[in-house]
Amino acid sequence: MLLKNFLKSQSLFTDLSDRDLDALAHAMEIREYPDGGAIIQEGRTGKELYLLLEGQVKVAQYNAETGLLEQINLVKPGEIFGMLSLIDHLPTSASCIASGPVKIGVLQHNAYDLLSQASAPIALGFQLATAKQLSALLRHQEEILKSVAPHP
Amino acid sequence: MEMGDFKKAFPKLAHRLGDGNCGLLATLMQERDVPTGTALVEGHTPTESLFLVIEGQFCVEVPRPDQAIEIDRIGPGQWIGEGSLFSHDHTPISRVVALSPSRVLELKHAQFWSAQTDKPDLAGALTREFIDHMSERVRVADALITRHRGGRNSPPSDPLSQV
Repeated sequence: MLLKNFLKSQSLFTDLSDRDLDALAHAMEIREYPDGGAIIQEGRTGKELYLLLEGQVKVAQYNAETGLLEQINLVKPGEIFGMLSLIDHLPTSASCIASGPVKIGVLQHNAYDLLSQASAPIALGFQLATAKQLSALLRHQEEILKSVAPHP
Repeated sequence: MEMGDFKKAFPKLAHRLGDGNCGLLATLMQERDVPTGTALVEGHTPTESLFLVIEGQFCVEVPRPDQAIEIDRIGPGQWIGEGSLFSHDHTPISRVVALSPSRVLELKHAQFWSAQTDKPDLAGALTREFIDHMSERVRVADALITRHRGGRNSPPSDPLSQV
Protein backbone atom coordinates (compact mmCIF):
# COMPACT_ATOMS: atom_id res chain seq x y z
CA MET A 1 0.00 0.00 0.00
CA LEU A 2 1.37 3.40 -0.91
CA LEU A 3 1.37 5.74 2.07
CA LYS A 4 0.36 8.66 -0.12
CA ASN A 5 -2.74 6.80 -1.31
CA PHE A 6 -3.65 6.00 2.26
CA LEU A 7 -3.29 9.67 3.29
CA LYS A 8 -5.38 10.74 0.32
CA SER A 9 -8.22 8.42 1.34
CA GLN A 10 -8.45 9.81 4.89
CA SER A 11 -10.79 12.67 5.83
CA LEU A 12 -8.17 14.19 8.14
CA PHE A 13 -5.94 15.08 5.21
CA THR A 14 -8.45 16.50 2.75
CA ASP A 15 -6.86 19.95 3.07
CA LEU A 16 -3.53 18.75 1.68
CA SER A 17 -2.76 18.94 -2.04
CA ASP A 18 -1.37 16.02 -4.01
CA ARG A 19 2.12 17.47 -3.79
CA ASP A 20 1.82 18.06 -0.05
CA LEU A 21 0.63 14.48 0.50
CA ASP A 22 3.72 13.31 -1.39
CA ALA A 23 5.97 15.38 0.87
CA LEU A 24 4.23 14.20 4.03
CA ALA A 25 4.41 10.56 2.93
CA HIS A 26 8.15 10.96 2.29
CA ALA A 27 8.68 12.50 5.73
CA MET A 28 7.06 9.50 7.42
CA GLU A 29 8.75 6.25 8.31
CA ILE A 30 6.64 3.10 8.28
CA ARG A 31 6.99 0.92 11.34
CA GLU A 32 5.34 -2.34 12.36
CA TYR A 33 4.56 -3.53 15.89
CA PRO A 34 3.51 -6.98 17.06
CA ASP A 35 0.47 -7.56 19.28
CA GLY A 36 1.17 -5.96 22.69
CA GLY A 37 4.01 -3.82 21.35
CA ALA A 38 4.43 -0.52 23.26
CA ILE A 39 4.29 2.47 20.92
CA ILE A 40 3.98 5.18 23.58
CA GLN A 41 4.76 4.77 27.26
CA GLU A 42 2.79 6.87 29.74
CA GLY A 43 4.79 9.48 31.63
CA ARG A 44 7.56 9.86 29.05
CA THR A 45 8.05 12.90 26.80
CA GLY A 46 6.75 12.31 23.30
CA LYS A 47 9.27 12.33 20.49
CA GLU A 48 7.18 11.23 17.53
CA LEU A 49 3.74 11.60 15.97
CA TYR A 50 1.95 8.48 14.80
CA LEU A 51 -0.59 7.78 12.08
CA LEU A 52 -2.26 4.39 12.34
CA LEU A 53 -2.25 2.67 8.94
CA GLU A 54 -3.40 -0.85 9.78
CA GLY A 55 -4.72 -2.58 12.89
CA GLN A 56 -5.85 -1.10 16.20
CA VAL A 57 -4.04 0.60 19.06
CA LYS A 58 -5.25 0.57 22.66
CA VAL A 59 -4.85 3.78 24.66
CA ALA A 60 -4.49 2.96 28.35
CA GLN A 61 -3.73 4.70 31.61
CA TYR A 62 -2.12 3.34 34.72
CA ASN A 63 -4.43 3.18 37.73
CA ALA A 64 -2.55 3.30 41.01
CA GLU A 65 -5.47 1.81 42.96
CA THR A 66 -5.71 -1.34 40.89
CA GLY A 67 -2.10 -1.38 39.70
CA LEU A 68 -3.37 -2.09 36.20
CA LEU A 69 -3.56 -0.34 32.87
CA GLU A 70 -7.13 0.68 32.03
CA GLN A 71 -8.13 1.10 28.42
CA ILE A 72 -9.59 4.55 27.73
CA ASN A 73 -9.67 4.68 23.96
CA LEU A 74 -9.07 2.69 20.80
CA VAL A 75 -7.24 4.25 17.86
CA LYS A 76 -8.45 3.20 14.42
CA PRO A 77 -6.76 3.39 11.00
CA GLY A 78 -6.53 6.96 9.70
CA GLU A 79 -6.27 8.52 13.15
CA ILE A 80 -3.19 10.29 14.44
CA PHE A 81 -2.01 9.94 18.01
CA GLY A 82 0.87 11.04 20.24
CA MET A 83 0.47 14.71 19.33
CA LEU A 84 -0.42 16.10 22.76
CA SER A 85 3.05 15.73 24.24
CA LEU A 86 4.59 17.18 21.08
CA ILE A 87 2.33 20.23 21.35
CA ASP A 88 2.75 21.07 25.04
CA HIS A 89 6.06 19.26 25.74
CA LEU A 90 4.57 17.65 28.85
CA PRO A 91 4.81 13.91 29.59
CA THR A 92 2.42 11.64 27.72
CA SER A 93 -0.81 11.05 29.60
CA ALA A 94 -1.40 7.48 28.43
CA SER A 95 0.29 4.44 26.97
CA CYS A 96 -0.47 3.26 23.45
CA ILE A 97 -0.21 -0.47 22.84
CA ALA A 98 -0.70 -2.48 19.66
CA SER A 99 -3.86 -4.56 19.78
CA GLY A 100 -2.90 -7.22 17.27
CA PRO A 101 -0.21 -6.54 14.68
CA VAL A 102 -0.19 -2.91 13.53
CA LYS A 103 1.42 -0.77 10.86
CA ILE A 104 2.11 2.88 11.68
CA GLY A 105 3.41 5.97 9.89
CA VAL A 106 5.87 7.80 12.15
CA LEU A 107 6.78 11.48 11.94
CA GLN A 108 9.82 12.56 13.95
CA HIS A 109 9.40 15.52 16.30
CA ASN A 110 11.69 17.84 14.29
CA ALA A 111 9.52 17.29 11.20
CA TYR A 112 6.42 17.78 13.36
CA ASP A 113 7.84 21.04 14.78
CA LEU A 114 8.49 22.34 11.27
CA LEU A 115 4.99 21.45 10.12
CA SER A 116 3.29 22.78 13.23
CA GLN A 117 4.95 26.20 13.17
CA ALA A 118 5.38 27.06 9.50
CA SER A 119 2.80 28.84 7.34
CA ALA A 120 3.47 27.02 4.06
CA PRO A 121 0.37 25.34 2.54
CA ILE A 122 1.56 21.88 3.59
CA ALA A 123 1.94 23.12 7.17
CA LEU A 124 -1.56 24.64 7.15
CA GLY A 125 -3.08 21.39 5.90
CA PHE A 126 -1.18 19.42 8.51
CA GLN A 127 -2.24 21.81 11.29
CA LEU A 128 -5.87 21.40 10.24
CA ALA A 129 -5.47 17.62 10.46
CA THR A 130 -4.03 18.00 13.97
CA ALA A 131 -6.88 20.33 14.99
CA LYS A 132 -9.50 17.88 13.69
CA GLN A 133 -7.92 15.02 15.63
CA LEU A 134 -7.77 17.10 18.84
CA SER A 135 -11.41 18.06 18.38
CA ALA A 136 -12.33 14.37 18.06
CA LEU A 137 -10.29 13.57 21.18
CA LEU A 138 -12.09 16.29 23.16
CA ARG A 139 -15.46 14.89 22.12
CA HIS A 140 -14.38 11.42 23.17
CA GLN A 141 -13.28 12.73 26.58
CA GLU A 142 -16.58 14.54 27.09
CA GLU A 143 -18.42 11.28 26.38
CA ILE A 144 -16.22 9.48 28.92
CA LEU A 145 -16.94 12.18 31.50
CA LYS A 146 -20.64 11.52 31.12
CA SER A 147 -20.15 7.97 32.27
CA VAL A 148 -17.41 8.34 34.92
CA ALA A 149 -18.62 11.46 36.78
CA PRO A 150 -20.59 10.54 39.91
CA HIS A 151 -24.37 10.87 39.78
CA PRO A 152 -26.06 13.10 42.41
CA MET B 1 -13.19 46.42 17.88
CA GLU B 2 -10.31 48.79 17.11
CA MET B 3 -6.94 47.13 16.67
CA GLY B 4 -5.46 49.08 19.62
CA ASP B 5 -8.21 47.84 21.92
CA PHE B 6 -7.81 44.31 20.55
CA LYS B 7 -4.08 44.34 21.33
CA LYS B 8 -4.74 45.61 24.85
CA ALA B 9 -7.45 43.03 25.50
CA PHE B 10 -5.54 40.07 24.03
CA PRO B 11 -1.78 40.79 24.24
CA LYS B 12 -0.69 37.15 23.92
CA LEU B 13 -2.89 36.49 20.90
CA ALA B 14 -1.89 39.82 19.32
CA HIS B 15 1.77 38.89 19.69
CA ARG B 16 1.16 35.54 18.04
CA LEU B 17 -0.80 37.08 15.15
CA GLY B 18 1.41 40.08 14.43
CA ASP B 19 0.06 43.54 13.56
CA GLY B 20 -1.27 42.68 10.08
CA ASN B 21 -3.25 39.63 11.12
CA CYS B 22 -4.34 41.29 14.33
CA GLY B 23 -5.93 44.15 12.39
CA LEU B 24 -7.63 41.69 10.01
CA LEU B 25 -9.06 39.60 12.83
CA ALA B 26 -10.27 42.66 14.74
CA THR B 27 -12.28 43.75 11.69
CA LEU B 28 -13.70 40.25 11.06
CA MET B 29 -15.03 39.69 14.59
CA GLN B 30 -18.26 41.17 15.92
CA GLU B 31 -18.66 42.27 19.52
CA ARG B 32 -21.58 40.77 21.46
CA ASP B 33 -23.00 41.23 24.94
CA VAL B 34 -23.93 38.01 26.72
CA PRO B 35 -26.28 38.25 29.74
CA THR B 36 -25.78 35.98 32.74
CA GLY B 37 -27.27 32.52 32.22
CA THR B 38 -27.13 32.65 28.41
CA ALA B 39 -25.88 29.49 26.73
CA LEU B 40 -23.44 30.70 24.10
CA VAL B 41 -22.95 27.14 22.90
CA GLU B 42 -25.63 24.51 23.40
CA GLY B 43 -24.71 20.81 23.61
CA HIS B 44 -25.70 18.68 20.61
CA THR B 45 -26.89 21.75 18.68
CA PRO B 46 -24.97 22.75 15.53
CA THR B 47 -23.21 26.07 15.88
CA GLU B 48 -21.95 28.50 13.24
CA SER B 49 -19.61 30.63 15.33
CA LEU B 50 -16.79 30.60 17.82
CA PHE B 51 -16.09 33.24 20.43
CA LEU B 52 -13.23 35.03 22.14
CA VAL B 53 -14.03 36.23 25.66
CA ILE B 54 -13.39 39.94 26.30
CA GLU B 55 -14.82 40.02 29.80
CA GLY B 56 -16.90 37.83 32.09
CA GLN B 57 -16.77 34.17 32.96
CA PHE B 58 -18.29 31.06 31.41
CA CYS B 59 -18.88 27.54 32.65
CA VAL B 60 -18.26 24.59 30.33
CA GLU B 61 -20.51 21.68 31.21
CA VAL B 62 -21.37 18.33 29.71
CA PRO B 63 -25.16 17.88 29.81
CA ARG B 64 -26.52 14.72 31.41
CA PRO B 65 -30.17 13.87 32.13
CA ASP B 66 -29.74 13.95 35.91
CA GLN B 67 -27.12 16.67 36.36
CA ALA B 68 -24.66 18.54 34.12
CA ILE B 69 -20.97 17.95 34.80
CA GLU B 70 -18.83 21.07 34.99
CA ILE B 71 -15.57 20.47 33.18
CA ASP B 72 -13.95 23.89 32.94
CA ARG B 73 -14.26 27.65 33.42
CA ILE B 74 -13.42 30.06 30.63
CA GLY B 75 -12.47 33.70 31.10
CA PRO B 76 -11.01 36.69 29.25
CA GLY B 77 -8.59 35.87 26.44
CA GLN B 78 -9.90 32.31 26.02
CA TRP B 79 -11.83 30.81 23.12
CA ILE B 80 -15.23 29.14 23.18
CA GLY B 81 -16.43 26.72 20.50
CA GLU B 82 -13.21 26.04 18.62
CA GLY B 83 -13.72 22.27 19.01
CA SER B 84 -16.93 22.41 16.97
CA LEU B 85 -15.16 24.33 14.23
CA PHE B 86 -13.10 21.23 13.46
CA SER B 87 -15.73 18.56 14.09
CA HIS B 88 -17.42 17.00 11.07
CA ASP B 89 -20.94 18.13 12.08
CA HIS B 90 -20.07 21.41 13.90
CA THR B 91 -22.01 20.07 16.86
CA PRO B 92 -20.54 20.50 20.34
CA ILE B 93 -21.14 18.01 23.12
CA SER B 94 -20.61 20.52 25.89
CA ARG B 95 -22.72 23.53 26.81
CA VAL B 96 -21.11 26.89 27.59
CA VAL B 97 -23.07 29.24 29.87
CA ALA B 98 -22.28 32.81 31.00
CA LEU B 99 -21.80 33.00 34.76
CA SER B 100 -21.74 36.81 34.74
CA PRO B 101 -22.63 39.63 32.34
CA SER B 102 -20.06 39.05 29.63
CA ARG B 103 -18.74 40.43 26.36
CA VAL B 104 -17.30 38.33 23.55
CA LEU B 105 -16.03 38.69 20.02
CA GLU B 106 -17.77 36.39 17.55
CA LEU B 107 -16.10 34.81 14.52
CA LYS B 108 -18.28 32.91 12.06
CA HIS B 109 -17.03 29.48 11.01
CA ALA B 110 -17.48 30.59 7.39
CA GLN B 111 -15.09 33.50 7.94
CA PHE B 112 -12.44 31.17 9.29
CA TRP B 113 -12.78 28.77 6.37
CA SER B 114 -12.71 31.64 3.85
CA ALA B 115 -9.51 32.86 5.48
CA GLN B 116 -7.88 29.52 4.59
CA THR B 117 -7.71 30.73 1.00
CA ASP B 118 -8.06 34.53 1.32
CA LYS B 119 -5.85 35.12 4.37
CA PRO B 120 -3.73 31.98 4.88
CA ASP B 121 -1.32 33.67 7.33
CA LEU B 122 -4.20 34.61 9.62
CA ALA B 123 -5.87 31.20 9.23
CA GLY B 124 -2.60 29.43 10.06
CA ALA B 125 -1.92 31.54 13.14
CA LEU B 126 -5.49 31.00 14.36
CA THR B 127 -5.29 27.25 13.76
CA ARG B 128 -2.12 27.08 15.84
CA GLU B 129 -3.86 29.11 18.57
CA PHE B 130 -6.80 26.67 18.54
CA ILE B 131 -4.49 23.66 18.64
CA ASP B 132 -2.81 25.03 21.77
CA HIS B 133 -6.15 25.81 23.39
CA MET B 134 -7.64 22.41 22.58
CA SER B 135 -4.54 20.62 23.88
CA GLU B 136 -4.93 22.51 27.19
CA ARG B 137 -8.58 21.45 27.32
CA VAL B 138 -7.64 17.83 26.64
CA ARG B 139 -5.24 17.95 29.62
CA VAL B 140 -7.93 19.48 31.86
CA ALA B 141 -10.50 16.87 30.82
CA ASP B 142 -7.92 14.13 31.28
CA ALA B 143 -7.21 15.26 34.85
CA LEU B 144 -10.94 15.36 35.58
CA ILE B 145 -11.51 11.87 34.18
CA THR B 146 -8.63 10.60 36.30
CA ARG B 147 -10.07 12.25 39.41
CA HIS B 148 -13.52 10.74 38.83
CA ARG B 149 -11.94 7.34 38.33
CA GLY B 150 -10.49 7.52 41.81
CA GLY B 151 -7.23 9.34 41.22
CA ARG B 152 -3.92 8.25 39.92
CA ASN B 153 -0.42 8.47 41.30
CA SER B 154 2.55 8.78 39.00
CA PRO B 155 2.88 5.68 36.86
CA PRO B 156 5.76 3.33 37.67
CA SER B 157 8.90 3.77 35.56
CA ASP B 158 7.60 1.04 33.29
CA PRO B 159 3.78 1.06 33.47
CA LEU B 160 3.60 -1.45 30.65
CA SER B 161 5.10 -4.06 32.94
CA GLN B 162 1.74 -3.94 34.74
CA VAL B 163 -0.11 -5.31 31.69
